Amino acid sequence: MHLLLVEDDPTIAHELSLRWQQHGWALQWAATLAAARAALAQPGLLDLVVLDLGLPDGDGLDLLGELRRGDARTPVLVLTARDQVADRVQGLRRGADDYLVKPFAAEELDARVEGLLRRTATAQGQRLDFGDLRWLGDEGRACLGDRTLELSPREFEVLGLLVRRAPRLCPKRVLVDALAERNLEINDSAAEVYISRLRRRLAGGNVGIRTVRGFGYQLTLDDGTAAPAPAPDAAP
Amino acid sequence: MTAASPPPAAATSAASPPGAAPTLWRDLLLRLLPPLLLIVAATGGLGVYAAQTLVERTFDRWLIDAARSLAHQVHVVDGQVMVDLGGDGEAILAYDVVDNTYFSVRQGTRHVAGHRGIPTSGTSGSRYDDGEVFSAVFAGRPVRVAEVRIGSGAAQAQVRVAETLFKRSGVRAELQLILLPMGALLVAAALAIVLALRWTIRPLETIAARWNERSHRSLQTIELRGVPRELLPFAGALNDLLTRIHQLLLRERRFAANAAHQIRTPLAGLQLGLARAAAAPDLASVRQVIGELQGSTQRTARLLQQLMALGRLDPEMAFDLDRQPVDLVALAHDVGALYLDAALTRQIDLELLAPDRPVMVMVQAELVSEALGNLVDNALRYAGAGSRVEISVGDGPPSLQVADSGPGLPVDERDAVLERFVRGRAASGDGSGLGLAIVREIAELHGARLQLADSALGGLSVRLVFEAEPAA
Repeated sequence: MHLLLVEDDPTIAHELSLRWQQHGWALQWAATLAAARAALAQPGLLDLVVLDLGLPDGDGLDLLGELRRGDARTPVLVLTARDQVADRVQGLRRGADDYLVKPFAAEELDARVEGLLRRTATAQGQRLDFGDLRWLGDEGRACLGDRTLELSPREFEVLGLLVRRAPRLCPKRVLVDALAERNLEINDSAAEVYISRLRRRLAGGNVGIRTVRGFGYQLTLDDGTAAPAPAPDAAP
Repeated sequence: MTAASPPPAAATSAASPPGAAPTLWRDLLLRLLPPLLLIVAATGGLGVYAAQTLVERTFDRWLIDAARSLAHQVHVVDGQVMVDLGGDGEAILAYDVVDNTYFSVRQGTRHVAGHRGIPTSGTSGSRYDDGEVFSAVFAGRPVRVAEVRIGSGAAQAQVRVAETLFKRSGVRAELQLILLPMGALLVAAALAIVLALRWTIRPLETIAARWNERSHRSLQTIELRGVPRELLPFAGALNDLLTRIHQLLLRERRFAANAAHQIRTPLAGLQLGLARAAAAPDLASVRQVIGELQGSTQRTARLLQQLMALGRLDPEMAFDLDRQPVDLVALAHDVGALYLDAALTRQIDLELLAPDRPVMVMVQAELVSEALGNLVDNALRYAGAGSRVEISVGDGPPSLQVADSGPGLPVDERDAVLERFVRGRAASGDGSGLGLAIVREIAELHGARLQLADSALGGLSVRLVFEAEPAA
């Protein structure tokens, strides 16, 4: 895994590079926007960008904008001291995939980075497990236990989106946008239709789909709760 | 009139040296004194001139009268002009203590009587209805000559009376003495103006001095007694400003003290924990303590965030609140989405109920986001695992509501929890007691109502009701 850390504080950069070396991740450090632009211009696949906003030569949100214009895929985690609710909304609106306010628990950061990395990995056609569910991106099929699920391509696509974000929530908007991108005509109520079809297909296993009213959908394990997230105090 | 353009060097060298600043005192003097001077000078000059003209005319008249008296003694006999002066006629005519008087009677070029050689013409001539008068020189002295003609044709006689100018000069000099009291008047008036200006400007200087004295030392307002009525609005406004700055400072000071106090408490906890870790018998217990302390740093960070949010809220903001049209539905969705992970971690169902169409209000989006974020965060903190938290957006009037199925809040505590650092009696866990205070202050800034009530879900519901948008 290749990560780019854009962060001007040397202590945080040092701690994170030590920490993430133990995870086996390769970390490239850029202390300024200019250095970050240079690193992003290099050929080669970056799996994740961890981005501070208050940088000595400008605002990280500008870099985020530039990045999103050229490349919509590489996930970006914003790591900043800007703590207002509106800052967080703004960061996500500008295309960040996640937003974490300093100070943060190291485990919380790890969990979020892992979540984002997993999303990229599965988007590239890899495999993913959740409970009894096994989603095989490379083969284009999904299994529940030993049984292969009979899914239409659209249902497979929707399940893929859900499993990539599990146990976190998949916003309805993401679902609708992703399907629209593949020329599948879909609106809010059609999304609901796909979800209820998927629910029927998943019946009998220990995986369910929960509707979070107003926000989206979420894969749950059979006891009715989603798999617990690791951090003890995970206020955003 | 000021100079059109000062030399550039002078303009750039000093932006506003104290000496060059315009002063009321100097401006008033410049505007009052020159006109006064001009008026007095013009009045004096014109008066003297008028008086002198009058005097000249009077003397001229006397001279003409003398010439006419003489003319009465002139007779024409057979075309010949004759004068019969008698013995003392000449003496009467010539008698004058100060001036010398001369006369002549002529017929054409023929001298009949009197002094020879009195000029027949001169300068500064004045014509009167019965003769004319002019200035000339006779016998080496400047004289005024009156000429009267009698008869006509070849028999016409010219009677001339000349007089030296001593009396006239004397009167003219005396007339010029009139200017002296006028000069005195001028000085007196100038003095009066200067004094009046001084007295008028003194209150200004007194006030300025009072302010100078105050602003250097404290922000106390100044005494308004003795301030002229024209200056009262100005002085009052400055006093208001001083009061507001003073209150602002007090507020900041109180805030800093509060913040320091609030931050010290978790720091003390951290210190205790660290001491416990240092004294721990083995690595496992050290790890356990450190794990506990991480939660404490997170709480401190959150406290700091809320303190900063409160610090940013300032009663003065109400005057320049950056209101924009904001869709509450989109705002609630964006803010709610931030808390989905936290809800998941706490095993709470977080839901959003909103109409399909936008609900527009004129607010500052950042502040309303902060308020809603605090309401959701509060609900997630106090509702407890397994409960439900519902964000709902209302229309007519536009409103945001966060309701939970948690333990709720007794009615008698609902006002108190809106105060800073106050938490419900039953509240457990790690709240700072600032969340609702932040929401209340944001509501106040927007003129929105904040309502705490029992929720349909069984717990507490907090509702922010905004003023309805006037239909566009």
